[in-house]
Amino acid sequence: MIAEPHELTIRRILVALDASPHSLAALDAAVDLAVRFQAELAGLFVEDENLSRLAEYAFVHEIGLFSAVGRPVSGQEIARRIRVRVRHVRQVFTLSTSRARVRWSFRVTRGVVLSQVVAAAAESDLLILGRAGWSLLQRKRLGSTVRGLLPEPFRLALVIKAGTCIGVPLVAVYDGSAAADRALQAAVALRHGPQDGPPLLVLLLTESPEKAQNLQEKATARLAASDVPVRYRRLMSANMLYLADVLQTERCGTLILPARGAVLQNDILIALLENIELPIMLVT
Amino acid sequence: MGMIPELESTQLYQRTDPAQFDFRTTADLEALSEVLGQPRVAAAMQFGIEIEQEGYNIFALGPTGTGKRDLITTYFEQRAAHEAVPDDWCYVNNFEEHHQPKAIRLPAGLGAVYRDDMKELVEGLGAALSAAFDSEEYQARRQAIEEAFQEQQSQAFHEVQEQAEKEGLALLRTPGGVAFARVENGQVLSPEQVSALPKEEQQRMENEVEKLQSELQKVVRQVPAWQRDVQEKLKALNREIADFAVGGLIQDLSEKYAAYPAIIAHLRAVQKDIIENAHDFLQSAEPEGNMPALLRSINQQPGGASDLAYRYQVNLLVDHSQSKGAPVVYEDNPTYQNLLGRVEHRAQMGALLTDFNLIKPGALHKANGGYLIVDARKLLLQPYAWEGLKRALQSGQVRIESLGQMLSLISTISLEPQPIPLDVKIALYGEPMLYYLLYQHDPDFPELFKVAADFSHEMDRDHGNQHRYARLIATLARQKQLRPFERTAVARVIERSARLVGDAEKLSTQTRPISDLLQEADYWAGKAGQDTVLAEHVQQAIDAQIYRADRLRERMQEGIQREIVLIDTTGEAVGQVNALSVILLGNFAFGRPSRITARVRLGKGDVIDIEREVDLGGPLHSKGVLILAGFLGARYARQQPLSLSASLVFEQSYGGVDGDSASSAELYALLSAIAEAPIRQSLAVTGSVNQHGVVQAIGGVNEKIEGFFDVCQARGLTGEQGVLIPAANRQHLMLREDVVAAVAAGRFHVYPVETIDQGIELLTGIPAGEPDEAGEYPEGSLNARVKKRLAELAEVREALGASGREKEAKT
Repeated sequence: MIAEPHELTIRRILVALDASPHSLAALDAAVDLAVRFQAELAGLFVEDENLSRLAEYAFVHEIGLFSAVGRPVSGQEIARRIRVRVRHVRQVFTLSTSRARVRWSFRVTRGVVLSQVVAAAAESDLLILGRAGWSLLQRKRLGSTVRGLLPEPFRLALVIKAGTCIGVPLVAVYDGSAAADRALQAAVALRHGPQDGPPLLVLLLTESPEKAQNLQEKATARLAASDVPVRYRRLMSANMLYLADVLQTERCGTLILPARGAVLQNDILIALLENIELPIMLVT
Repeated sequence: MGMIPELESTQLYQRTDPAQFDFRTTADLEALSEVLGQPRVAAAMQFGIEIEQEGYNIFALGPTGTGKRDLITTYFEQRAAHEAVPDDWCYVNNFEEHHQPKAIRLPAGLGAVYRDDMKELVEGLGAALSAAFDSEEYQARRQAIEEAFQEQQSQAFHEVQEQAEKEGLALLRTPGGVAFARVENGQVLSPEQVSALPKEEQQRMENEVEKLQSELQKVVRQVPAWQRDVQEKLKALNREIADFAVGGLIQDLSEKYAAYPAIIAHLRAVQKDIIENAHDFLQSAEPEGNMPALLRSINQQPGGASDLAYRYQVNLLVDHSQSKGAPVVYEDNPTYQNLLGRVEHRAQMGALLTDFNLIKPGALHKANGGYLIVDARKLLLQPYAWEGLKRALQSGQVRIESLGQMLSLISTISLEPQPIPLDVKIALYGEPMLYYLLYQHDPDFPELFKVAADFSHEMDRDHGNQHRYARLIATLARQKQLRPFERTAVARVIERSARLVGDAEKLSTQTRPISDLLQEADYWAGKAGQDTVLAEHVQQAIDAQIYRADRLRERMQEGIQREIVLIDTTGEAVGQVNALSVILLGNFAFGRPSRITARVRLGKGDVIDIEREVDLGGPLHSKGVLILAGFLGARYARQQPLSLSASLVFEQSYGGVDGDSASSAELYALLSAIAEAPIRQSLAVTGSVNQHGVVQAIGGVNEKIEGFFDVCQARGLTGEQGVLIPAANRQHLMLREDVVAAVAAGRFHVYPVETIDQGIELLTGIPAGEPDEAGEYPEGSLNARVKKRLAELAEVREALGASGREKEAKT
């Protein structure tokens, strides 16, 4: 059954912040989209409860990543450093939002980061977060929050890597699923207007040309209501290297993926999120 | 002795006969190419220019307006035109010692070529480096190095993490580092949950955490070494790529300039520096770099650490690409920095920064290999300029140092550019006084300025010189683009020139007043609508010059006419004579009659100079008065004491008197007072006198005569009036036309006097009297009257002395 097309509305954007370079890049993207959609921007900082618990163990030491010195973990010290981080994030957030003149709110909660983010995301239309937090292995590994987010309920999530921003052309992967339909809506919404920039590239994810034709017809029907120029290309498999090659050839600016679709399973999504250096929007 | 004859009117003014000239106007004359009336200077200049030994620089000394600078310039330019064009000089960056820029000497014209080549190289450099560092090869190799590091790092951490995960522990990122803890469902176990575990399990967990912490510390300690290794590899890669990118560009230039070792050395240094720093330049040029905008803007400013253009360009200090012959430089403002060069600074973020591009040349750099002309007075007025110039000449090199550096006032880092060898001929010019003062007080001066070109302010007024003078007038008229001068006008200018030097037999070599006169005469000719300048226009210019300047003279004359200043021009008076003085105001001199009076009484033979008593008399005046006492004693009181006391005064003189030109007048007043012989007030006197009664020449004779003439003329000439002048001053007479006319008409007289006897006869109408063999003067003669009076005074003094001794004896 084909879902009825409906207008994608983004009234509230949640941006998860932890002062890491990726999260600050996420903030920039969030402010940009908040201006574009005239949405309210909600900033969220989660004080990680796990850190406070560490202090309760005398044998647990904090190892300095620069000095390699092991220090006993002090609850007060952890709290103080978190306060400093919150202050920094709040300053950057208020500065960015006030410059852009968007409606905003900023909240600090305490708990497990993933659950707090997921809970807050339920109240928002779009969640934006950095690819990784203060992860040690930033280059390859995905942050635990993004990784943990995939099986959780969310509508739209934009994952941003430090040094990138939302760009064109937009490339949407279409596999005919309901999430893929919504991905097309998100792609239309992300464009300013019909004449703005290069056409939307829809990658039809199927091995057979016949199915591709069907998918294209279906996608065309979905996009009929909008006058966005569209280009289609068949994506024969969801192989990460293959997709990366296609994206490079097409000089892709932002990738829009249906999560929980027919083909793109979580492990594939994780691989894509880990290896593709582009803003990626996940649509459920 | 009879009365001496007065001078004929023709003797009062030495005319220049226009008929002696064979031209109609100065347009017919060729320009004067030689130095007029300065043969000594010409020889000195020739010698000074040709001699090549050290220290033979030139000092041209002479009064202002003698054309010293023009003449030096002409000589230098004539010589320089046939000399080789000197080398160019450049400053380039010293990459090893940035504060000591290197000087490069290149054949004339090559400096500009090299500068342009380096500019082109730098322009090409940016593109070549960008292309090289943007190339796929470079990017791939760079990424491979960075990737290897990341992988190495990731792998090490990953191994620790995997080990932790095996033990059910998680690696948690804390704000200050990382820590290990047992995690279940994303949450660190609470102490209660841990307590619920078996003791062995707790102990194992504790041991594992400690072991992992230790492992992690090992990994973290290795990271800096890996980073260093990566940096080294990246540097090596950058060098390799940069070397390839610039090698070709540098090689082309190296081949072009193979004959110039200094350039080859510079190019090698440039290549080495580019290779070492190339990647930094590119990073700073990237606007999207991570560097804060402010720092980036600083870095990209001219002279910033990584500014390619400023780092490698050539500062062409002296460029002779357009020069013909050796340079002749006149430094109008000879400050220390204008002479020796300077290092400018650029303000940046409140600090003053500099580099070799901001080295500016001084006059010595520009004149190096040629000639430099400097006004000595201006040079000496500039602080440290003279010392700086001497130091450069003594050391034979130009070293650019700031004044602050030289005086050790400023200790901030500045540049010490490599000194440049100096080979220059310098000509200073100035007043003779400056030359003599320097010679006397500065021991270095005679060593450095061995050639004196001594300009005379006058020259002989012979036929040849008068003709040359006409050509000088023609030259000046052409230079100033004036109308041609008729030969009558030329003659009048020559006469005026003689008057300017106060000598009928000389002409002024000071071209400035002559040039002024020519321009002003041209103005009057223009006003009269004439195409040529006539004698009347020259006269008009002279009259106008005098009129503009003679307000004070007029005031003084008025004072005399209104009898505020008492000067008699008729009648007779005892002990009173009209003397003549000259007042010089600016460039205008005029004569002014003064009344001198003398009173005598019994005394001890002293002549009191009242001017001196009140410090209004100068030493020369006092000397003249003391000579009088010598004359009186020697002539009239050889056998007896001079028993008078005389006082002399310049009446109504309040401004001080100096000079001895009134000493004959004072003697006449004194003789008149002693002999009680009245002096004709219709005559005025000038001249100094020696102890033998000989009247000697004085200065300003023309002005003095005219001064008295003006007073007499204003009151109406009686035909009795005249002036006694020293006979030696006859040759100096160039009197005004109206004076000459009055003398010709017998209404005014000028008497050339050789001795006091001649003068006193004229003044008193009484024969002076010649002494006989016994030294006695004829009865009734003036000298006899003086002698008799002095003898009487001596007797009275003797009598008074005797009665005084008697009184003393009685008591």
